[in-house]
Amino acid sequence: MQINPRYWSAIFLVVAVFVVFLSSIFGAVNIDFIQMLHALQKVFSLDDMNLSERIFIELRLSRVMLAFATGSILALGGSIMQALFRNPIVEPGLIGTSSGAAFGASVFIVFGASWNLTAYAFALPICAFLGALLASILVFTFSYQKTGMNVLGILLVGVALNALFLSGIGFLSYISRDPQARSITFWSLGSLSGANWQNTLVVWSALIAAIVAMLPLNKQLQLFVLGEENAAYLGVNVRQLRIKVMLINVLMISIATAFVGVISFVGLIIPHLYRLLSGNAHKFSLLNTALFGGIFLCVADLLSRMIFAPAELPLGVVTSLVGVPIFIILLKRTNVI
Amino acid sequence: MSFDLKVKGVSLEIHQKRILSDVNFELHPGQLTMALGANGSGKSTLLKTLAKSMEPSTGEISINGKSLKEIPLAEFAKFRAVLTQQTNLSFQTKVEELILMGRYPHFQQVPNPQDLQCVESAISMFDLDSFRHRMYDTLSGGEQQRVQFARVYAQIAHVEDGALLLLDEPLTFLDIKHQLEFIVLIQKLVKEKNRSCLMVIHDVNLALKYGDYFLFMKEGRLIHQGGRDVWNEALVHDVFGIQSTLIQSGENVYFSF
Repeated sequence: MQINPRYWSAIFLVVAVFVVFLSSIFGAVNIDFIQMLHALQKVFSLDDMNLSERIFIELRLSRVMLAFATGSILALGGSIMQALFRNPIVEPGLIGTSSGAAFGASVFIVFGASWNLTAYAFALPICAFLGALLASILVFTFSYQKTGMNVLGILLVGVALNALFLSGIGFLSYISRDPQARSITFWSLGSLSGANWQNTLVVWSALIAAIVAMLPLNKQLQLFVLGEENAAYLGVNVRQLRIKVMLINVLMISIATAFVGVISFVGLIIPHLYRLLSGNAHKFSLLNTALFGGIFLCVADLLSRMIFAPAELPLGVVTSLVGVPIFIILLKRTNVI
Repeated sequence: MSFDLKVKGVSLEIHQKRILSDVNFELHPGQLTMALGANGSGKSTLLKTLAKSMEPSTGEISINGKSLKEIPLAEFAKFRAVLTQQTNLSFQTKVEELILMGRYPHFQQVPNPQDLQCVESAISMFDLDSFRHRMYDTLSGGEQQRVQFARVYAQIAHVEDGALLLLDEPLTFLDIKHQLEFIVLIQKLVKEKNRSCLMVIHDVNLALKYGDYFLFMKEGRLIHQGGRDVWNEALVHDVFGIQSTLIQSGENVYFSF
């Protein structure tokens, strides 16, 4: 199966529009196409909307768009980190970012009220973002060497700090009251139920900024497939590139995770699936990877809303349920296992 | 055509350990210069300082009077190519795509016609047409190295007025047939394209047969250098610490150990 990457962009774009459309229709309240058109029209004409139109615009559409941007960010993060570390099992959160975010969120959930933080807008995402940043900075500080960064060192420190933050989250759940513990669990499994247009715009901005920042770096990053030494012989400033790519990854993953919690597996499998589809492993188009990740998470979110509707399954549960079997089949088919 | 590469008083220390001390030599276009020495004698490090992947602690390397320090890495990659021992890829890559990577220093987002032309000439030069759509991982070690060489060739294929080719033990994992094929190709390339070339090599007899100029390293020092006439049994003993006999049979001169 060999299809030109440009055709993939077209295919992904069409599928993306279709999936966004489909996800907007189905949910606890189904909305038909005519209602969607009316609602969209009223957004621009600023007319008053009826209830189902408001559900569509304020809840459904913002949620679908948040899912899309988050999936895009996770997939992009996975692609660039796998290329950077020259390792196909790297996840964007491996350097402590997502467990740090979860820890930050847990601190807020348990202590937010007593520290009078709950009154502020964005208080939870900011705590999560700070946790993610803290964890990532710790990983870099501990693995820093005068001679540069040692890749294996970063991964090992990342694994250790992940464990540390997870036990921190465990401790916070243990000392918290029941509803707080539930919130922590809920957050650690990822959820889009808090979506609104403010969140969605922040995450979309992060996604677009990350793609723009990655555009001039992508070609150099692809040379890492030959090893860092050969990349340097082809004119790449390896040290600088490493720092830039990790910074872009940490920032975009922190922002996405801050709003939706920890969503596992997307960042790991989407780059693999894309490689399999495009047939060109070292090369990934930023746009295609982003579209693919967005589509995947939209579908996962749709499933999480539909399987036990009107109740919702945590998103992380769905991504794992869908992702793990696909991943194992993939490994079998490519003779890795 | 001038491409004067001068190495003057180059020393290198890593963690207070001397790796290179006071190395002086020059590379000339069209001449195949070979660096020889025991393991750990500093020949690969010397090559890396020429490749600008390591910086000398003291001394200077200059090209046409311009210090290597003043040439930005991205600029240098346009006329300096390096072939290493063996390259493992982190992800599956098509041969054609891999050779195109040699041209990455020359274009922004989309390859120019010149880049594609260089890839084509590399493919025909290294006889890779039947491999171009294959995945790199499915090739044998010898074929893989040929692809890497084609990539390195493509990197500087268009350069007319002097380019630097650095070869860091490129023959190490090849069988004898491939070694011979390769070295003949290297020789041809250096002569025809007038490349300045430094090659690190272990095989004394291959070096003697195909090299034009020789650098002998020992404990970080360049202890001997010169053309084919510097070779003798005493030198081999001095450099490698082994006894040998120089044998002349017809046109061939070789060492027996």
